[in-house]
Amino acid sequence: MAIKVDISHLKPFNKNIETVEVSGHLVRECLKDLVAKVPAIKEVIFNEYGELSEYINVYINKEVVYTGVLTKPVKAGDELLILYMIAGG
Amino acid sequence: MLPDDEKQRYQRQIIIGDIGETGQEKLKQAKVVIAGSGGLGSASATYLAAAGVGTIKIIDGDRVELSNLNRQVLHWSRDISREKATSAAEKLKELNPKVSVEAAAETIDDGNVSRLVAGFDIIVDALDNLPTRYLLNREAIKQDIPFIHGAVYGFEGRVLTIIPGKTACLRCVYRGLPPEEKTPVIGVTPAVIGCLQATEAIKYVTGSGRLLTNRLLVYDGLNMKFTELNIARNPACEHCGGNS
Repeated sequence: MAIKVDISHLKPFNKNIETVEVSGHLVRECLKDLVAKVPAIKEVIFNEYGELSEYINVYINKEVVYTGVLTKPVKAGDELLILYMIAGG
Repeated sequence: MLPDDEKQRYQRQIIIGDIGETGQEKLKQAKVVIAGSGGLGSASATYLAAAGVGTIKIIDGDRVELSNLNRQVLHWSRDISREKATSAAEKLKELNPKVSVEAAAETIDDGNVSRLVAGFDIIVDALDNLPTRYLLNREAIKQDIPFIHGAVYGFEGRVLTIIPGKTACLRCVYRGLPPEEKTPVIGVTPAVIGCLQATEAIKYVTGSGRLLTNRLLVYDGLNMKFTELNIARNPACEHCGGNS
């Protein structure tokens, strides 16, 4: 199943890659496929225990997901977007 | 009733149907506190003063450094080593003598945040770090003061307007504290985001348009793209979750 992941907001970790096509039925599978394809962002997405990092938010079709993110089902055509916290002023 | 010189000063915005003379009176009565006079604060404060927001307080405990001047346009070369709050207030008063500008050269902390924002109608979050942003977000909710968040990194920026008890707050969305780093930024980015924050403040005061609530606006200057992300109040939010 083709799921598009927008990682354009993960600068400077994303090596200037804007979007990646991944496969999976759950967000967890999609993100594992994502970090396999772009290893440079693995430490941004997951913490040392393999859990979702608290520095990012995952959006499915531009809707925020606060809880149970990794077990959310996704379907072909869905779009994930990953946002890293920023705080500059 | 606005005096003639103010009618003349603000005539181009008074003729905007959504503002009018009534809206201009509301701007004159409004009290906006701007936390930070860096890149974001320079832009938002400039346009809020120019628009005739009657009372503006600038909070900033830092002093001007040479490396600030690529983006913090309220501070000039002659201001290096001066208090930023004083430097900013001086320029704003010169820009618009009709506006009352207060400089608070203090660093926001647990002990002073309540006093610094008390009595204001809006807080503009123009800070440069998350711990103080969280502190201000919590205080905004506690004192029921609308909070306009802005943040930048490089060519990217974000804006969110928070109406306490009604819409998602900063803590609903952000939880952790990423490792601190020197934030890369080019001046045009906080200029864009600071102006959007000022726009939200003007809309709130005049009751115009649709506020950027429950919508996180993400600006990508490199691709010249704005993305709107839908957010909601987080029932588990430790700042506003129990405040519905």
